[in-house]
Amino acid sequence: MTDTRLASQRRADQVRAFRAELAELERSLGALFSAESRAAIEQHHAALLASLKADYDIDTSTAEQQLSLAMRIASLLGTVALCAALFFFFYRFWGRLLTPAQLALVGVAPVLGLVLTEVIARRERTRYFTGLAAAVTFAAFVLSLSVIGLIFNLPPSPVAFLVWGAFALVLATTYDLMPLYLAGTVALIVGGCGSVVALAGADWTEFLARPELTLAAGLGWAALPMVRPHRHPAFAPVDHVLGAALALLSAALLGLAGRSSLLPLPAALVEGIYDLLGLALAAGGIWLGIRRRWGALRITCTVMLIAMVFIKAFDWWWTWMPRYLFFLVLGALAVAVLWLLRRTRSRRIA
Amino acid sequence: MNRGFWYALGIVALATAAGIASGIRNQSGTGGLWLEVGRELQLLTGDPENTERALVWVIPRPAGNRVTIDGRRPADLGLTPDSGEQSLARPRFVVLTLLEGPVASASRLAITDAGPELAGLAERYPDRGRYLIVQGTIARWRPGGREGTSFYVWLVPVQLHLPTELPLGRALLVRSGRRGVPFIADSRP
Repeated sequence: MTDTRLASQRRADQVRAFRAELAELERSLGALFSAESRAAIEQHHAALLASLKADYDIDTSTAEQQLSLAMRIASLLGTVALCAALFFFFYRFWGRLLTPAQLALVGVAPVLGLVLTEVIARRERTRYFTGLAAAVTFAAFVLSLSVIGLIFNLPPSPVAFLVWGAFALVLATTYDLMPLYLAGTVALIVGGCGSVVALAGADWTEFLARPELTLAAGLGWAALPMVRPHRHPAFAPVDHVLGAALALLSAALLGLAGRSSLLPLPAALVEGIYDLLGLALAAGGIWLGIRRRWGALRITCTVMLIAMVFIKAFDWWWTWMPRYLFFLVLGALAVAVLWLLRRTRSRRIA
Repeated sequence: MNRGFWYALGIVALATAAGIASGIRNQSGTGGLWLEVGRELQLLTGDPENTERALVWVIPRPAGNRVTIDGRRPADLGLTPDSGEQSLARPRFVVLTLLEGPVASASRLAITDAGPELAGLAERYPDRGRYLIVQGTIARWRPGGREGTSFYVWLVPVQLHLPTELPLGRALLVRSGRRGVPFIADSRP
């Protein structure tokens, strides 16, 4: 959804909430407005909703919202299915084509997809079909470079991920498509981490075994919206969720397997350092999310903090505690956190 | 057409052209090893969902992925110390040698040397009809913290594409290109 469309949808929701609350109030207190004022308000809202619907095709009723949700789900399923169909179709038949035909086919497919995406985007205000066409175009481009690599036996390269990432981000920002922004971000992180490892002289896939790089990449990506305001504010939550989840997951992995660290320290010490760092980062993320009202960051860090505590508890106690005691301790921990939060809430209310 | 469309089109055009140019540029050179299908190369078959004809190397490795390279220590291959049992894998060039006179049906291919420079290895192994120098990755092995005498070696890529233009003969000519990327250049019935 574009930023303008999001704002329009919010305005329409506000109008619907106002109407509902007014009806409740009038049921309890009787008529609050004169018939003329009420008619003027009704007329203004009707005109506003009609204009928003005409310009941005927003949902003006609960039924429409439910239909939109169903359309989003259908669009997502359709995207996955069509991308899979494209891959399987090509692999099923490409062995029967001569090499120039294979290359021509994979070279032309993303270009055709791009043209189709542009044509659909010009005719559609909502982005269901545009998103579908753009995702298939992205899949065609991924297929294209992969097949060129297979035909010439080229070794896999992180540069391909950087190129795919750049392509997805261009599509995402041009046509306001969040799923492609997510795909592009993941590809750029993979390509970036792989390139750093390759420049250091190691095989680029080794970044998967060295979580410090993904930790740094996740932190950097989550911090991006702080350094520079996002040109597409609707995409900022993706940066927060992906960056924070990647950084905290990496810290949790290092806390479990210190041997995979790049630090020249004993494994046990490394694990302790990353346990503390992970908890501090998660707590810091929650604080920042509350302070700046970044809901996605707050929720991601909370979920990851809970996951990290449970993982550590499992790592420390599972083998030597009886099962009932392990779960009892976890339950007691949860009750303690609940009690602490309740006290904080009561203080804030007071 | 908006600006984003043209940027996207530019990325597609440049990346596709660069990929094809890189592949074509690599596929030059002379010599190569005639390898027998079913002996040194194994055809990947049986997947009706993928009609590509691809082959994998058959290189005997008694110790799993590890191979011993006579007279080579980790430092010779530029493998720096690492605290783990298996060090970081590093891209290197691997020398494949076509051995003479082993058992009739067994693969004659062996990994006999490796190094960080393609040119240095090409100078040391000039016989293009016996040696093939290809890209690979190597990691050193330190069992229990002690220095091992063998290395983990993987050839990159793991499989070779057989172009549709070439028939699948009994023997295939495998060449190594300018960048040490192997490719199938000819087929013999």
